[in-house]
Amino acid sequence: MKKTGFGLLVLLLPLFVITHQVQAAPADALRVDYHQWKLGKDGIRQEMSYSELLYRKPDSLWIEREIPEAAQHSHDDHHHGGLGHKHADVTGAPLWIVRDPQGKLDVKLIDRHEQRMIEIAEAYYSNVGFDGHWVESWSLADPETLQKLKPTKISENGLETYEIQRGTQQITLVWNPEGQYAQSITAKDSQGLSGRTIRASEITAPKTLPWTQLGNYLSRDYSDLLD
Amino acid sequence: MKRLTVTVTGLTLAMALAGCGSDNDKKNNSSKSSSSVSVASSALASSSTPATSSSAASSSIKSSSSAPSSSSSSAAPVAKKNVLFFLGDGMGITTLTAMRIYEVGEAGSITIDTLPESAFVRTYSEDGQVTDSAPSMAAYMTGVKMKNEVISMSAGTNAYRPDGSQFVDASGNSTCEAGNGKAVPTLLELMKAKGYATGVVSTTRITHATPATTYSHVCNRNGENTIAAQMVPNGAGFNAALGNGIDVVLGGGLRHFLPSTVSGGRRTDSRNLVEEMKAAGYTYATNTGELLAASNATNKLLGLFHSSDMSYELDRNPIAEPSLSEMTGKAIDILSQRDKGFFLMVEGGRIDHALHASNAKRALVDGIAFDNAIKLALQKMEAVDPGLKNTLVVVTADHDHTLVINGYAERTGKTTDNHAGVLGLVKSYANGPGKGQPTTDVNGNPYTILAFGNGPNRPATRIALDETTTSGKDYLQEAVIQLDSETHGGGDVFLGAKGLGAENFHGVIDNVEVFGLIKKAINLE
Ligand SMILES: [Zn+2]
Repeated sequence: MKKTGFGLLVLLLPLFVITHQVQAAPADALRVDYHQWKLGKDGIRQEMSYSELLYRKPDSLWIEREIPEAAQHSHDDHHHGGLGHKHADVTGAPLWIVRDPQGKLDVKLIDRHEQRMIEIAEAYYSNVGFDGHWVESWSLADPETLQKLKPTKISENGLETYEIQRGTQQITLVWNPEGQYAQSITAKDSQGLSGRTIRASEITAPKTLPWTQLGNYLSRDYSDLLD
Repeated sequence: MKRLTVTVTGLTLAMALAGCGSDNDKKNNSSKSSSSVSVASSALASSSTPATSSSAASSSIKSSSSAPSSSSSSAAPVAKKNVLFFLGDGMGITTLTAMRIYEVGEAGSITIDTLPESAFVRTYSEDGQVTDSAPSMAAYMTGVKMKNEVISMSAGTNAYRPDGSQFVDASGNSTCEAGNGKAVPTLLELMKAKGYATGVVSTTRITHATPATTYSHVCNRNGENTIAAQMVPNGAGFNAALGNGIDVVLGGGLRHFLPSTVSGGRRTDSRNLVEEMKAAGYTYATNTGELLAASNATNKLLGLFHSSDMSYELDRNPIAEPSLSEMTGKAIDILSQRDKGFFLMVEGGRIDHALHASNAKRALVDGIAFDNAIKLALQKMEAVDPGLKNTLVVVTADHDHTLVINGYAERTGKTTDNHAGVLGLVKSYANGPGKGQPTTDVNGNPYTILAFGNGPNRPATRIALDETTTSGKDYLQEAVIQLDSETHGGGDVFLGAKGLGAENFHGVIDNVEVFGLIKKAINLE
């Protein structure tokens, strides 16, 4: 289903380039809102939400948490000590992931306070909240996996809705094939004890992409932060 | 990082959709780790020709009669004495127990368990209830209790200025000031001065705190460019107490030997210390093949196998990087050929790093690689010196971590490809319908056997874990207090000893006492 759609797209591509130049390209900047809640046996409902900005080029991905000003720690809160190996404060720092033509990933944590790019070896991906999956990080879902499923609905503007059952979880996913990202993912467990929502919307990319502004950053290893 | 707990929720969804590539990853990795163990044991069989007792005897005679450079030549043949000091960085007692269960089950014994003598060691530093690796290893190597982050300097030396900044620049050059403490002699230096051969082996950068305490002196451990220069004979900044230089140096940390003008180099003084070491007579190895091909008669050997720390055992490419066993074996093969005995320090340095990451699996696999290196060393030394009559082997850790073994778990036995073992969930031991079922927290969620007092993974809401997840190579065990990375712990550590003077180690001792007990064992004044 998806495959024929893709073939058609290739055929029509020259037309699209002329008439829909901007829309035909994958979205280059997204704001992604995460929300999650859970009802405990003690009757307490816990909720959590946060947002991330994604800047996307075909082989480069920048993921940055939005940290409201009041929550940002001040620059003077901590001492600056050269390598500062065990006083690193990189909570919520942006991640910059680059994929080479062979598919090999280069993951960096950007420490703006100390002006360092911290090289993240594969063994430390979990420590910076990256699961090692390029496509799922870039698109929020893997389009190849979706191709194997049948959309339950295709809206007029082309959005594809998928209903997926995973164990006790009922997942509804809306895929934006033009923008190449999951526009929303909603998961609920059958007992109504927990739920999660991800919503992505297209935003205007900054004129200067953040990874072009790291010229004077020192390159460091994640293991430099460990003693 | 804090990013983890929150991102996991989003990415978990994405991953669930992505299908199950991770199962294959896991299989590949476990088979990789088991094949690397067999590499280590085949290295034992092939890479060495252990000195026979007759050749050992003849060379000891040679040392007393014909060694012109030996300062301590005497009339009677003197037995060659050897000290092998094994340091598992961060290998606290809970980690040791978890290593045992992981590898051989609750009732089994790893090599460390077989050491006949033992003591508990207090690890506090001059200023810290909880130490870092610099003063704790320096305490073993110098007998002096110094402040956190100080490398083999006198008591009172400061790693930090009064304003809180450190005595190091951003490139890793020491900015220690005159008058801020003075160098104190290390075991390696003292033995070198008496004509012993010396070796330093680590899986970390060779300029990292633990190995650095054996051969360098600096007020702040982060001055790794400065530390590297201290080992280069004839070069500026050389530590003259090393005489003609350390005989065998094996580990990671190439970046502190290369100028910053070269890719990956960190040196700002434009020196290439690898070239300088070669000029000073060192044979240089860059991979496993070159290491194993080095002749046992090699005069001086430098092996740098990684720009930074060597890979975790779980991730190691055996062609590019030797195992800790292979490095230890080659060091013994070379050092035991010498006229006089030797001092060898071997660090399993990345047990600590994996624990900081709260990644128990990598820590345990690195711990077992360390144990295998000890096993190989004992076998080789038995061949060189039967009964270890003149060889002291000490195995200890520099400090604890915050790892705990949680809950009333039933016995798991060892971990295998399809059995999580100690990396799994706490399951009930009690007879009845609940036996073998996960024990749950107040909200009905299972929890893992291994967990940390602090660390990056503190989920805002705990979820139902399964053992495929918790025994995965990248799983981070949960922590009570959320920190970017897990810290050291303050508990006493285990010390095990075997051979010459091992019986001196018993009871509860202070880390600074170890230095004197080793000297006493070999009559080093
Ligand atoms: Zn540490």
